[in-house]
Amino acid sequence: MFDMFQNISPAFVLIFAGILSALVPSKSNAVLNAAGKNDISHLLRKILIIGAPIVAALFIFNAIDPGTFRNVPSPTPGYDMGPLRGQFSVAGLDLTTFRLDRLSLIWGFIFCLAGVINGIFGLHERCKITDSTALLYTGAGVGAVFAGDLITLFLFWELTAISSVFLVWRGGETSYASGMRYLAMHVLSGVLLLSGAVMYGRYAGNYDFNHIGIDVPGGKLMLLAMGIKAGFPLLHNWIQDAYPKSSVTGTVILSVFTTKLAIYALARGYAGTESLIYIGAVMTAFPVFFAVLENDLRKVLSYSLNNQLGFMVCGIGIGSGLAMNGVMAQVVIHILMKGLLFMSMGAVLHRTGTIKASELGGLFKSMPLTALFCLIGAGSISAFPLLGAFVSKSMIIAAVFEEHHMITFMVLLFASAGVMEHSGIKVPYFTFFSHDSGKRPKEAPWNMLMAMGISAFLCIALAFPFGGYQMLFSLLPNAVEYHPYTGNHVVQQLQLLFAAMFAFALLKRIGLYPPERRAQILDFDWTYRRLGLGVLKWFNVMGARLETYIGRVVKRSSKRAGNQLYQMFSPAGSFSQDTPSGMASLLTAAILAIALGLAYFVR
Amino acid sequence: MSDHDHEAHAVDNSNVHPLARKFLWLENKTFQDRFIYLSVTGLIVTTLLGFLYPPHHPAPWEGGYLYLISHGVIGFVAYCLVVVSAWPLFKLLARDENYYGEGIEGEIDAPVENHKTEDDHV
Repeated sequence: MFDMFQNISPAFVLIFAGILSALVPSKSNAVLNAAGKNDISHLLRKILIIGAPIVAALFIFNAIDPGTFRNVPSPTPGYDMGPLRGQFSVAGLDLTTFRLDRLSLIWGFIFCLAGVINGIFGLHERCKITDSTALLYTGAGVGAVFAGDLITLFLFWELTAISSVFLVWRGGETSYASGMRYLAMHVLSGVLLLSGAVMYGRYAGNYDFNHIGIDVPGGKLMLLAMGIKAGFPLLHNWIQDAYPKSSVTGTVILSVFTTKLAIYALARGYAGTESLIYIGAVMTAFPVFFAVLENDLRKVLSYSLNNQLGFMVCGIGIGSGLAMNGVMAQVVIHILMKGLLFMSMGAVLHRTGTIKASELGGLFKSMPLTALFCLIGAGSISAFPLLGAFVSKSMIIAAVFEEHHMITFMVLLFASAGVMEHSGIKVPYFTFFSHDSGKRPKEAPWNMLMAMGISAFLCIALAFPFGGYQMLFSLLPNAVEYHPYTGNHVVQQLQLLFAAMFAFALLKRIGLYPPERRAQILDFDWTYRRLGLGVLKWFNVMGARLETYIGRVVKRSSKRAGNQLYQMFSPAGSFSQDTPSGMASLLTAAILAIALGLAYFVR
Repeated sequence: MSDHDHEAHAVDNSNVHPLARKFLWLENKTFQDRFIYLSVTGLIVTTLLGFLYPPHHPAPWEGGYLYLISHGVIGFVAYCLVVVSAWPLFKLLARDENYYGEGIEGEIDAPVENHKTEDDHV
């Protein structure tokens, strides 16, 4: 009965729901309150935002071929799982909108799950723009991971940018410029992707999106395009610029799709590219230093996001079965735990009106459940045993070790301690504990608590030693034996975490832990927000001066020419003097002679 | 606002969430002072366990017993390096909050105490 749906990409379900949500007419609160009615359109939008990702997930499930999908990891490289679906031709291009294999399956499911959780988190928000664009954005993300060719990927790639910028702009007036920069970066990424795809298509003879590598025409351009979205070093600033300025709900939604879509594209196209190992290592390390400086806790989490992406990029660079399994497991866990942390900070911002560490503290007294969920998220990202990243991040680190990249291995351990600092300790400590700020807001709304509760539960369940992580691992494509709960692994991870906790306590006690202070911390975006803008302004001023100068010169010259013409042709001019033949007659005769001469000699 | 500024607030526990009442000891100064012993104990225990379970992925150095707690050493040194480096980095990189002239980040106009918080966009 449902076979007819097997060829429809689940992305279209979400996009259709997004369009429907935008078309649903709604009335303002004031009108509804005056009439004493409930907002049916609001209810309908909320049904769409939660229901559509569930239906999309059912579409994915329905398309899984039981003959090819077994809960047995594939023994051979590659992710083949069934036929390509949703294929059609446009202008001579063969497009594939639904390529379901073991790689896209994981991203597809986790994107749908995140869509549901985000929908629950934003239930309180009466905003048509947020609801509609969130659905479109989720649909674009799902569509991109199921794209079987580079052109389809490009289309959904751009749709993620265009739909998500509205979530940034929902952050208020201060977010407008950030949104423009965000849009510029992502449109640039799309242009690079398309340019690379065209070059690659001419070389390969088709646009199939499989392994690409950097040695083929267009390969480096597409890597750069993906690098922008993945937050490669020096291309990362849009994350810390836009995410903290978005609305409470917007940041949570944004944290899921764009960067993880880039990780998917890298995993599909560039697995085993050695340069990614070093890029990833740098990505894990440098945000740690910025995160400790930041006072805006959503910005701290944005740096933390960059750091976690670094682990994934590094794993993709390694490209072994263990590393790729680690990347995929880390994507699933990371979406849940990072979303949980962003949700908890969003709830705090929602209730207190600020997310500055310097203004917070002691909130566990009034928001204990939010504090608990935040601690679970913090423990997960720090890779405490029994929590999230303990079972996933360790796979990537182990893969790096086994491939003998010892410097990278050390950098990843360093970054792990850094994660413990900014996400494991700083975020929960300065928000919920530290010194009492005197703020006593209400606990987060029920819908936020529910969304955080689901994420927290999954962070625990998917790392549970008895049947939990095994469930997660069963989705992974490569046949690699990995057991996270060995005595060695638990002990060495606890050593690292306890040592970091000891360092924190020691530095606090001796007064070396820096206080949280309000400030703008400069990052690489200074080069275009300040230096680049300054250079543009300089050119603008110089251009205006040049324009004035040229205008003056032109005016002076034309005045002089006018004067000379006046002196020659005016009634008092030299050409009009009263002589028998007149100068004009003489000149006319001369011109006539020249013309006759030319006509005679030149034929 | 630094930690010292926070202390200016009088601690008012009259409006505490019922679930949080059992955890008010977390803000106890004695507990916070003794937290360091908790972490040291954890470190000692895991160090001793390191003899039983030597690391599968140790740091690449030869250092006798240090080898067994290589992750602990890395964790401690890395954490201290990151935190201590914040002092000079702050001096180097910190500017006024409205340095870029785009407003102050991380704050919304008014704290929100109920669900009807954001404008309805028609």
